[in-house]
Amino acid sequence: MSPFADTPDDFVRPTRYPLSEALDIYRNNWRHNLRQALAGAYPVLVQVVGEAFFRQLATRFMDEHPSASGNLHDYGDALPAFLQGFAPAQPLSYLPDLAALEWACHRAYFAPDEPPLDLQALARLPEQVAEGGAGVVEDTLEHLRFEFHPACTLLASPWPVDAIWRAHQPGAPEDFRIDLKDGPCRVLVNRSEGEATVSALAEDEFRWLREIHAGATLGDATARTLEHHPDFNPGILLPRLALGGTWTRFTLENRS
Amino acid sequence: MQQQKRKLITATLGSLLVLGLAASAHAADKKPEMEKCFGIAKAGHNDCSSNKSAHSCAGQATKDRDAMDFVAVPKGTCDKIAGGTEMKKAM
Amino acid sequence: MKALPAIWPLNAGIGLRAPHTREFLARRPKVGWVEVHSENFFGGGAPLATLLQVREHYPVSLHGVGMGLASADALDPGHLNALRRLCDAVEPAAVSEHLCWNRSHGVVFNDLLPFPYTRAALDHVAARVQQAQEALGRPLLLENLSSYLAFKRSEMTEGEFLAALARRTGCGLLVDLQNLHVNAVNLGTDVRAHLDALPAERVMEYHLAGASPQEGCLVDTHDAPVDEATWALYEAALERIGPRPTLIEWDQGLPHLPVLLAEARKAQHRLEACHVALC
Repeated sequence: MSPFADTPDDFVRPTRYPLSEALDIYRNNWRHNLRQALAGAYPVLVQVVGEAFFRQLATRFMDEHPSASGNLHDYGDALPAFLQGFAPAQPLSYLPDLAALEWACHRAYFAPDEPPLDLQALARLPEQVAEGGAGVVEDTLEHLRFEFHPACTLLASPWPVDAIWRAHQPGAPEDFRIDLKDGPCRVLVNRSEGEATVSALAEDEFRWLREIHAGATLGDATARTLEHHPDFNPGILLPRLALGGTWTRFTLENRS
Repeated sequence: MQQQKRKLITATLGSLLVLGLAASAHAADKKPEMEKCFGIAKAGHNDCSSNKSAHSCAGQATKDRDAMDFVAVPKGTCDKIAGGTEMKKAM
Repeated sequence: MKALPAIWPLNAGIGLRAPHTREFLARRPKVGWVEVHSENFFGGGAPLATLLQVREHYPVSLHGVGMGLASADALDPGHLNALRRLCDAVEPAAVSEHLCWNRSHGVVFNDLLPFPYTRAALDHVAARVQQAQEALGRPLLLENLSSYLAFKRSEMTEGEFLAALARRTGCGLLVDLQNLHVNAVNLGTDVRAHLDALPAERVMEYHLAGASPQEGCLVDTHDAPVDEATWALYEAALERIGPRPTLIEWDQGLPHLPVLLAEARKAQHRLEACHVALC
């Protein structure tokens, strides 16, 4: 879709150069700005497919998915889905998942700041529950829910896209080899000291965190995870996540 | 199952609550160094990378003629990622 | 509504771009103020934290490229909110936008697009400027555009349009002398007439930059030192309008920071000479 194709000559005052020249400048600026925004959001993708291929990918993408925001950092969220149907990229079956990981990192980088989880308020909970006479403390605390920080995304892929992403970070050795048979990955994307972080999660950890993310209580998430992974133990994971800024708030309300 | 869940949650919450107490004791230490043992990889250099500042009010001198001769083959680091062509997505 | 900023030093500043930020903070060079593109700091994290560090030592001007005040579509409330939050955090010396449109039927063209300067357009843009100023609780500065085409339907010049806009809305004006030079070359704009049309008391800032000659026209690329023609226009503006905070903009093919600072010093010398002449 070109916004300038229908501009009639008689609408525009003649200048020293033909109108087509002026329209070229605008068309070029518009495409360049969107392409730069995409390349900024997907720096690993650019390296994996090469600049020439990425340029063509970006051109096709912007024709189908125009920008809807005056903030260019919002542009490109539809690229992972677009890659699913993009025929020339089909041989690289991991590209959509790699792109989804990059978009999550991009969003993490620009996510708004939120106050961290109030650990002291959490520590005071058992006392408060006991004082309130609400019964056995553990029975009540099972109903804890956690709200995720806007920088956080959970992603799973049948391909080792986290390894691919790491291999393309600044300072990583250039002579890497990755075999897609190295298998699936499950990650939590977050932000630490201003930088996007990608943390690998075990299958049970991922299932549990996905439950919490979907709004399940601590008790329900743990019970459902135990059904599939009888050895699951959130005892180490939970404090690490709490300290890592995964959550911003907790709520304690018995919705059942 | 119910018993095991109960035990786990009690222990888990215990560890979380201890953190809260530790936080009140060291209110100034905002972020303990948990990352290394958690296996976090940092993106690196983002803070001053120009590819994250997309906005500018400059025009482009180099013309993009939108050549439509498609570069059909990706030519990047993808040749270091083996198994891409044979495998069909399982999900 | 607050008065136009009084705490803005009458000095030269630089456009602070991400690749320079770390060095800039480490060296803390002697420069009056800095300007950044507002949209790069929508959200939190490292960009905002770094900008706030800069703000501790320098006045900051926020220069928007995405509001598209002349668009027929309604202003994006999310965009306005993000800018207001940024203003609350940064307490900028000035907040500026371009006299342009960028969206139609929900599609955004992330560029600065020109429109015919008609009385109807003036009503439309004035309402939008007022809406934005009310949302931000402060006046905006509106910048003249570099254009590659002009419209037969225009009923006034861009300078007349901006002057009327400032009178109607109380907005300030940002005079980009490089844009005027580009328009003089490309469209035959009468720059002196443009400067004369502007109410001097509403002009709050100057922009200076470099451009690239193309086949038959000049493109506003911000990738070179300020050229002689633009320095001459700057001197003309200093004479007709008076000294104002002046920005060196460099966006592409960034030079080393000292080169940029040297450009700012050139502007600073002219500003000071003008001061002396006034006294």
